[in-house]
Order: sequence, then structure tokens, then C-alpha cells
Amino acid sequence: MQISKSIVGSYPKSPKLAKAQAWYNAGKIGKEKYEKYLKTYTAKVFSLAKEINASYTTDGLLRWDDIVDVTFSFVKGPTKGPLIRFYDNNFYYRRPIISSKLAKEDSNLVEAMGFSRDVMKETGASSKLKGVFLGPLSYYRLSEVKHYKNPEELMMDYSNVVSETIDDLKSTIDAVEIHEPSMFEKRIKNELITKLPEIYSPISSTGVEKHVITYFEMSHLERLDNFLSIKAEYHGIDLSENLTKVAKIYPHLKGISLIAGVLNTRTTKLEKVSSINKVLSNINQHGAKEVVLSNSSLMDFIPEMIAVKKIKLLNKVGGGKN
Amino acid sequence: MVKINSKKSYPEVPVLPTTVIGSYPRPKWLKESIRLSSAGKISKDDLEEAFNDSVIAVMRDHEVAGIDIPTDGEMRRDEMVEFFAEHLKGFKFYGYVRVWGDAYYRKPSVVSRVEYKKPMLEGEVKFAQSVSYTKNLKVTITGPYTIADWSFNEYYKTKEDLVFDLAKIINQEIKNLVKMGIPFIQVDEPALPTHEDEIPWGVQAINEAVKGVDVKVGLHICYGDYSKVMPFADELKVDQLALEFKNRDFKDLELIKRFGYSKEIGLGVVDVHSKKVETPEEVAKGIKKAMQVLEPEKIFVNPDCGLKRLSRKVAYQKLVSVVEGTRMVREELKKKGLSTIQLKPIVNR
Repeated sequence: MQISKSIVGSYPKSPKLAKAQAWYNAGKIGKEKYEKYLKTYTAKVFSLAKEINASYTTDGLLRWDDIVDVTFSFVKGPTKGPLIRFYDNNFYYRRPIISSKLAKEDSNLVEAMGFSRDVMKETGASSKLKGVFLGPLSYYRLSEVKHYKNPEELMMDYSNVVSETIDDLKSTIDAVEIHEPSMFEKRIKNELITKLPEIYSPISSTGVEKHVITYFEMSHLERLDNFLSIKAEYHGIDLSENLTKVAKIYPHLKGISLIAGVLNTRTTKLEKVSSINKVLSNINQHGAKEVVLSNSSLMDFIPEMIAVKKIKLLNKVGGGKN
Repeated sequence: MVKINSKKSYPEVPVLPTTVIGSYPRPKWLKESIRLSSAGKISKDDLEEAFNDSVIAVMRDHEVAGIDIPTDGEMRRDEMVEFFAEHLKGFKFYGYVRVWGDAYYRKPSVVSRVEYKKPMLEGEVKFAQSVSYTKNLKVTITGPYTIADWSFNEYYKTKEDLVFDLAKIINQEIKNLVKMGIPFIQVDEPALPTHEDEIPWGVQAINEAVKGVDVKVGLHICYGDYSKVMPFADELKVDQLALEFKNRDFKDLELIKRFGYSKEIGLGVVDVHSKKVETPEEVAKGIKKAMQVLEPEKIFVNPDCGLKRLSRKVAYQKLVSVVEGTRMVREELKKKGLSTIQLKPIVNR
């Protein structure tokens, strides 16, 4: 079984960068000065990816407030609503208020990812760069929908917008990471889950490598096969928050290219390398095709110092540095 | 269990007492003093003087606005969990964690058994009492569930174990405040509705935290879905639920009827996330809506939440509207012979 590593989702944003962004948004500093800050902190993400020899990395989403904030850059129509708790975290996002049909925005995402690509080049990291998108199901769950009568229609329109945006990014990124934290959530109806392969079809048909990942507690484990049936090159599962369920997860992994979320990004407690190795061995025994070790979810939830320590643990997994 | 002492005398306050949820914007010069202190450019005594001066300024704002039950604006607290974690044994700080935008706090980690070292609020409360225009001070304290939920747990086997240890500590602290003569304690539990399955034991932990407390006890909850907490309202041994109503357009008043809630409410009448200052008429309208579901004797009037994120000017103006709007309704109540209530506990605990 092939083993590699990835940095997934967001990286903890330095308070200094957040301050610089606030200054920039208030017109107190210019674009050039702001991007200098952005470059410094984005380079830290890529340097970390380089240090662990990661096959894949994101740019840490440092330009954005959060993963929902990214959607406002490429989806035309939604307005920013009130601050809402992001699932059960003490972390808040602006809820998209959807009052008209979704369309593709002439996005500055291409420029943003081009910026990240250039920073990556300067750091000498050789990882594949991933663009990050919120998945259709989670987008629906985290929005306030006024325009659409049924969720399927909204999700399909969103999926089309994501697909077109991915097309724009083709020459800038190597892969896309699509986040579906709502996949196993209690409040989501099963009938929506069964429609996901169809809803994902526009995204699935893009020529870019796709990593669909889910995280947090898997309340409805029976949806695992639905999740794995979404057409993508890799499927990511948060094993760290579902340790009591892993025995039931392993049998589903045969032939799967798995992004194994082994680093819990909602606790400061460091994982034991021996425990990660044990998980790895079990995944291998159950016939997974390939495994990419990673943090399990967004890293906004932990201090940067802990994020760095956790990511560096991956260097010790599987018998040491590779 | 402490039973309500009918012979004890409790302070009198106007009907529909106006109060605050706790925090108030720090004056710019205090922020600058804190920055200078962090950089080692001013002494500890100078910083303490700045904190004291700011409490005087906050008290003055509250007094001029006409608030019946003020706080000290939580001038010494950077953040509601961080402050208590800093004063207890068992916590460690690894760095800042973002909450949204550019708002951060040093999210603590529990690395050993949590223990009470010494009174945490005694100093700030003593000073506030010495400069307050009224004896009717409210003191806010973060509840055990929120301290645990907004911390990382590296030590306890279960979150529940951590919460109940914290409840004992908070209880000790609250009893100390009561000894100091504080007539109104507000326990802040914004995290309570977050994990539905934990609410039943979270409620028991709050009860543990207020056990034996024979002054008025309020419980403030913000951000969450109140319909998850209301089924436990009777079980909660607090006299009052201080909730956000304005930023939900008072729709949640419906929950009071639906769940047959009959204790007091702290009625949020101004939105702390909006710079727009509500008019006194809007405030009065909100109070009247609340009076359709609860007797006026059971309504306290306050902002939705702490005011610290607003500019000082806007925060002050919102307080003035709270007071003026309340006075309009009081005039009507006066005609019915209702002008004062006692600031006393209504629940045995």
C-alpha cells in the first residue's frame, strides 16, 4: 500500500495577518503591503509541507475568513448574513443568505491561487497544490435558503458553479479538495445523501483530481458507502474523532484511496505515533489501495504551535522520515 | 439546599430593572496601557491604575445612562474563559485560536486536575463596590460548562468530569461574592446549547455551581438555539434567564409560552452586533411584547449580550435607549400601582 502525506484545509491564521486583513479591508493599507503579509504566512504553510515531504497541500486558506467565506468569491447571488456557529465549534462564519438563483461569479480565486502557486514555488515545496471548496451538501446546510424550493435544486446549481470555477483553475492547481462536514450529520435527511452522486456529477466530470473529505463525528455510519460512492480520486475520513467506530469503518476501505485524518485538529493533545501506526496497519490489512495521512479537519480550531507539532508527527509515522 | 429566607431584607429596585449583561467597550487609553504593559513600558501599578480609572469611567457611563444594576464592564477580563483559566490551577496556554474574522482568544488546555487557588474576582469586585453609585451591583462569572467547552481537554477522561470539577470551583467563587455583599450573580453559559446531548448534565453542573447561593442568580445564554435549553428551564435552579431577544426580532418570546416558563427573564432589547442605535420607542415596544407572555415583575431589561465589541459612543447610546424605553413602560405600570420590586432570589437552591 502506498503511503503519502497531505496538509488538508485551513492553517491557523496568525493574529498579525488577520489584523493586516482588517486594515486592508478598511483601506488603511494597500494591496501590496497586505500581500506581503499574506506571502509571509502562506510561505509558512508551504515550508511545513516541504518539511514533511507532503504529496499534497492547500495554501492554508489564509486569504479567507473560513471555508464558507471562500464561497462568496465564486458564487454570485448570496449575501453575507449573521455570524453563525460553525457546527459545534466555538468558531463562527457569516451565513450565506441565498435570495436568488446561484451563478458563477467572475472570481478572483484564479488570481488568489496563482499568488499561492508563486509563493509555493519560492519556498521550493514540491507538493501538489489543492484548491479548497465547500461541498454542495454542506453549502446547503450552512446557508439560509430563501430562493430555492428544494435543496436538490440548490445543491445542483452550486455543484455547477463549483465545476465551472474548477475549470477556471485548471492551470493553477493540481487537485481540488471538497469538504463535506455535513455528510454524517444527524440533521441531514438520508434522501439527500442518496442523491449526492448525481448532485456531484458536474464536479466529478471535471478533469481535475478530486479529494472529497468529511470530518467531525460520524453519527450515521451507514452513510459511509454513500460517501465512498461519490466519484472522486480520494476520499477523506476523520478517523481521529471516530476512534470508537474505526473497526466498523475499516471493512469499507477495500480498494479505496483514502485520506486518513489521523491528527485531531480539535484538541491540543498530541497523538501517539504508535497509535497512528496501528491505524495505518489496520487500513493496510483491510485492503485500501493507497493512504494519504493528514490532519483530520480544518486547523482554525487549534493554536499554530500545536498545528505545527501535529503535522510534524507525520514524519515519524511508518518508521521515520520518508 | 438553601431555602429562600422570607425574613431577609432584599434591596428594592424599580419595576423592569435595567441592567447590563456584563462587558463594556474598553476605553482607548486602557487598550494603549495594556499594550504598553505587554511591551514592558509601564509598571504593573500603572496598569492597575488604568484598569481602576476605566472602571470609574464605565460606572459613570452606566450612572449617567440611568442603569439600575450596573457591572464594572469586565474591564480586567480580556476574554470570558481565558480570564478564569488564568486564575485556576490545571490550565495551560499554547497560543491564540481564532473565533471569527480577527477575533481571537488564548484557548486554554486542561492539562491536570483543575483546582481553585484563591478568589478570582475579589479584587475587581472590591474596587467596583468602592466606586459604584449603587449597592445593586451585578457580577458576571463564566459557567463551568462554557469554561470546559471552550477549552481543550487533555487530562480528564470525560468532559463531564471536567465540568463538574469546575462547577465546584465556580460555586466556591460565587459564595465568596455573596459574602462580599453582591446581590446579583450572573452565570454566563453561551456554550450550553451547543451539544444537545450534553445539555441534561450541563444543567446539573450549573445547578451545582449555584448550590446554596441565596442572592439573585441569572443565567445568560447567547448565540444558541434556545429551544434546546427551554425544556430544562424548570430544572435549572436559577431565578432568571438573560437571553438575546432583539437580534431575533423577539420571536423567541414564543418559547416562554410554549414551554410554560414562569421564572424571570433578562430581556435583550438592543442588538450588540449592530451599530444602529435602537430608539427608546423600539425598546418600549419590545418590553410590551414580553409583557404579553410574562408579568412585568418578572422582566429585567438589558442589552442582548455584552457591549464590548461596539464603540464606546454607540454602547452608551444603546444604554440610554434601554433606560428611556423602559421608563416609558414604567409610566404605564405606575398607573396600575406597580413601581418597585425586590432584588431577591425566587428559587430554592
